[in-house]
Amino acid sequence: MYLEVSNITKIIRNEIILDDISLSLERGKIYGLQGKNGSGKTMLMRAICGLLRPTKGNVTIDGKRLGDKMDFLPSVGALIENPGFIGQFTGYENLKMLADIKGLIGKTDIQDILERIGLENAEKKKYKAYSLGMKQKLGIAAAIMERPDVIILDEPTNALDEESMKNLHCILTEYKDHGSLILISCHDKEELEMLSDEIYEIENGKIKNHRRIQDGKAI
Amino acid sequence: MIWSFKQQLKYEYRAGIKVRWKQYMGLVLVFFLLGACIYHSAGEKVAGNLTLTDYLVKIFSGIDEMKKADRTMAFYLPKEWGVVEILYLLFVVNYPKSDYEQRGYQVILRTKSKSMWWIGKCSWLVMTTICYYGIFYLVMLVCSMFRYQDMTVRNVWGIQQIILSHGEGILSIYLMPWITMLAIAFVMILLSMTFNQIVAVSAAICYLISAVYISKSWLLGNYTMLLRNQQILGSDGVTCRQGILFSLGIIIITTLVGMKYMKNKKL
Repeated sequence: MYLEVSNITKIIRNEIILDDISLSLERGKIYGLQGKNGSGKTMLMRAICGLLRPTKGNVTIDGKRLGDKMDFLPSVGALIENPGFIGQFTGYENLKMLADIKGLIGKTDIQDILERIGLENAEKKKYKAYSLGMKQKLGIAAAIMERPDVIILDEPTNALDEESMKNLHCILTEYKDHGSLILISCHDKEELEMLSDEIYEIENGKIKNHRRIQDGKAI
Repeated sequence: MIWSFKQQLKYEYRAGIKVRWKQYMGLVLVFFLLGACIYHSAGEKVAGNLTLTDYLVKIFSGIDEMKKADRTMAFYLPKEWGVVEILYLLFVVNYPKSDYEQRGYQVILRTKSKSMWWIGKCSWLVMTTICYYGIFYLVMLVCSMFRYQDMTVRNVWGIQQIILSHGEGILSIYLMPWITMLAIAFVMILLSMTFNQIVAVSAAICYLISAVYISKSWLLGNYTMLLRNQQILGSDGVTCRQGILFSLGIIIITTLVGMKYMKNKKL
């Protein structure tokens, strides 16, 4: 397995947020996390990224444990809760600022991703003038633009219309086919079954159910 | 690590300085208004000949320590000093925490280091302080029509004549105002990460203003007031050397404490 989550538990102020969760995730697949608000999906995603230290358990990627010689996944793109960008900058400038940190992609790649995600007309528009759906798309673009090995998207379909969701599905399938491991969360069962190959149901911080999906249906 | 720091610095410049150019223009306006107020407060005979030193002495004189016997007197805050120093705290308090809450994880996942994020914020604070006080000194220079004179000679403002040695005088008005405020701001932004910006700036302002009442070396506000210098106040006063050492010490300690704190902080 490429990414192993082993017995992750997180306790905050005596409250168990994540309760002994284990997952085995492979490259080239889309995994869904389904659960109500407050079930622990976002916390689990944070723990996998390395943004959160679990109270117990660990995350291993390609045989290497997070917290040993590395604090974060080596190649990860994430959209967790609200996308946060600078209002006075355009969509392009916001992505460029983030892309320049690692220097892996240039102007053309950023323009390509904006076009693919459906923001080609908003490239020069300031972020503060974006609608909610546009902001969400920009957040997704920031997560995937550098073609990371692991993509983590927390409720990416929020504020997206049906056409945008289908477009997102095409993009994620393409990234999956190129070998990315994709983890997405959603509280809507149907949306998740449309997007995912396998789904983990999470409730009160525990994995309640695991099912495989084919052609949008559980098998 | 060096590459990572350079990229972080570039990010801080774009997200924390370049984007705030309108606010920097606002500072220019505020400082020109301050200069105009100082010009009008000088007597008719003197106003037209005010030098840069006169402006800076007016702003950074401070006031005599409020003695116990004076506690029945109404509270008085040196206005010009208050405008420059309190405005600085308000100018820098918001960015680190808001950047952390909005974009922090995006940057950290790319630099792979929470400590580097904190170092970036410390660097941003230094850059912003230099810009803020750079603009301040430049505006005062323009207000004075580029006239300069040593401090020891004049007594323009009718307050106790301020006579400092050349070196102490230069340090007092060109270095101490911003290096001590930088140290206070370092602690303030760490507090803002632990609590929030309102708590942090309130604590910083209270700490700064307490120096108006009390002349003690551990209240850094004293180092920004000429009238608290040991050469004027005697043994109760402070020296620039003390102020520099205290300030640098606080900056280094806060940087290290902040790195440790951020490493363990949940994002």
